[in-house]
Amino acid sequence: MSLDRAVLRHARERAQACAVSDPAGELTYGELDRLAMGWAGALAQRGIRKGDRVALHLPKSARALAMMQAVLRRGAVYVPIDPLLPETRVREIMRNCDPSLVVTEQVMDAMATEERHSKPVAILADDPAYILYTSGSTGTPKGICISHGNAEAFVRWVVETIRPNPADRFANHAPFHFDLSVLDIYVALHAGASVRLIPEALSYEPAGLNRFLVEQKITVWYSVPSVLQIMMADATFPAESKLALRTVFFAGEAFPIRQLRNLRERWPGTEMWNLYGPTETNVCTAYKVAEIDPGRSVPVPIGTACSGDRVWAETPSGTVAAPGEEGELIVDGPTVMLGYWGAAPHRNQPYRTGDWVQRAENGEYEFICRIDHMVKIRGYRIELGAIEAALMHHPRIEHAAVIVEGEGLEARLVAFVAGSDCPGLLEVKRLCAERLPRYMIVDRVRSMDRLPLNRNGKVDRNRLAAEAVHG
Amino acid sequence: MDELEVSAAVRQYISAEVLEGDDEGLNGQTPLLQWGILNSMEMARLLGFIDKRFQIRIGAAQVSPACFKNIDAIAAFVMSRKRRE
Repeated sequence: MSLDRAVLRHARERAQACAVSDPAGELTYGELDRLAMGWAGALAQRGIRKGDRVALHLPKSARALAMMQAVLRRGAVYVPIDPLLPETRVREIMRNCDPSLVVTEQVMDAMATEERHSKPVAILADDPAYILYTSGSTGTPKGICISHGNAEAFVRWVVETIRPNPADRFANHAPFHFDLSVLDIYVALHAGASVRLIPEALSYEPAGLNRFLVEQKITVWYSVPSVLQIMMADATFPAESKLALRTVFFAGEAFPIRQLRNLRERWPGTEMWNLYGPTETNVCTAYKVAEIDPGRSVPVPIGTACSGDRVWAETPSGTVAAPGEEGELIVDGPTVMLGYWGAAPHRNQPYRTGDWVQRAENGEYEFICRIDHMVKIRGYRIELGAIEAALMHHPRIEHAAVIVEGEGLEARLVAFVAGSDCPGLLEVKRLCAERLPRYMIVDRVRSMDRLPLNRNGKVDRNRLAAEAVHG
Repeated sequence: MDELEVSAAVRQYISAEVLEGDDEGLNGQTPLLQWGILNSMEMARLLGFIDKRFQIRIGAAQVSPACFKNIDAIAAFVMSRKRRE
């Protein structure tokens, strides 16, 4: 099954049903199919063939989604590019993926007049479908190449797990260049449901997001936890009785346990899932949030393998972690990417995630930290996430991030905290001292109204580092 | 010089040099070691300050954690050393 098949099927069975909506309007399955078909024809006219890359330098919209479908129908590979990226970064991406065509709004408008039908292209599970570029903080961007089969393995798992139906309404919060959008788009299309695109301008505007959830009668939500946290902290956060919501997925970072407990209390009838996986493996483990042990002070587990994958933790001595042991999480199976574009194929090799986990007695995995977030200060190994978790115990701290400023003897742990009337340094030190070894007590505290988030909704640690130096 | 003056000077030093002014709640009983305000590096700097300000040379070997657990204890320790000299 390829990622373009579902729309063809639903265009026959429910042509009048809404497939995708954005603030400009909506496209039914019939309209989406016609647009994708017309544009696939136009792409064929421009010489786009199987395996070619087509860069989509477009803001998020229903038409952009139709263009993705058109590219897939040609057997080509779409490369969504964040329209807000600096030009130099865009040039680096273009150099790497060498697209045969760059689709901008203007190109798309011109193409609408060139509608022609094209012959269907045979697509195999191992054919590449899209390339997502990571916004790594150093070096050149890496293009993660995902096949139809990689994405389908994950989509199938979600379909089997939540049994979506045509009446479902999926919210799409993530931008198209961020892999969280794969669930919203392709699970919705698979089910003949509709995907409601949240305009980027609304992405971090809590009242607008809360209103969207209610007015659009969203039944399935997927975002990073930070977004749910800012929604919850706003006075407009809706009661469960006002919602059509049945399932909430979150991924991309750890959900602080106090906030997750709060969310569970406020929406007790909504099924919640913690999904885990680097872009290179899409989603490879999942945890259904059940009752949270009142004594639990760390985020919920990342759970067990899903999407047909196999996961294990490798200890520093190279053995598979036994229950209770820690190690690097390794993934093997159908969701593991084809490879980085322009590098040797990765296929059929297990993927090392760079994430440090603990295997629990019941077989579930607990995320501990990124291996590269394990810093050493004056010889001590420090897990920044553990400090952040300790800070979140303070009733007035809503969000916390810790970074290291300086090097060697001058290295200091700087905590950035957001919340209402955040505590000062001494109170934070007392809080740390209650829960952490002495070498993990923070040296500086900076209060902010809100922590800066990057375009993917995660805490922007680069900006915090700049703030620590210059702020 | 009495114990109160020593206490005030040490407090001022810790506030300015260690906490960089972020000293809300700092008092004579604040647990300096337990809360990680004085780590080994800060302790060495504090001994340098005491040496310079009060002309008391304290070798690292003479430092017992009990004498540096809080500002009151440091002031008492400095005064007892001063009297002995």
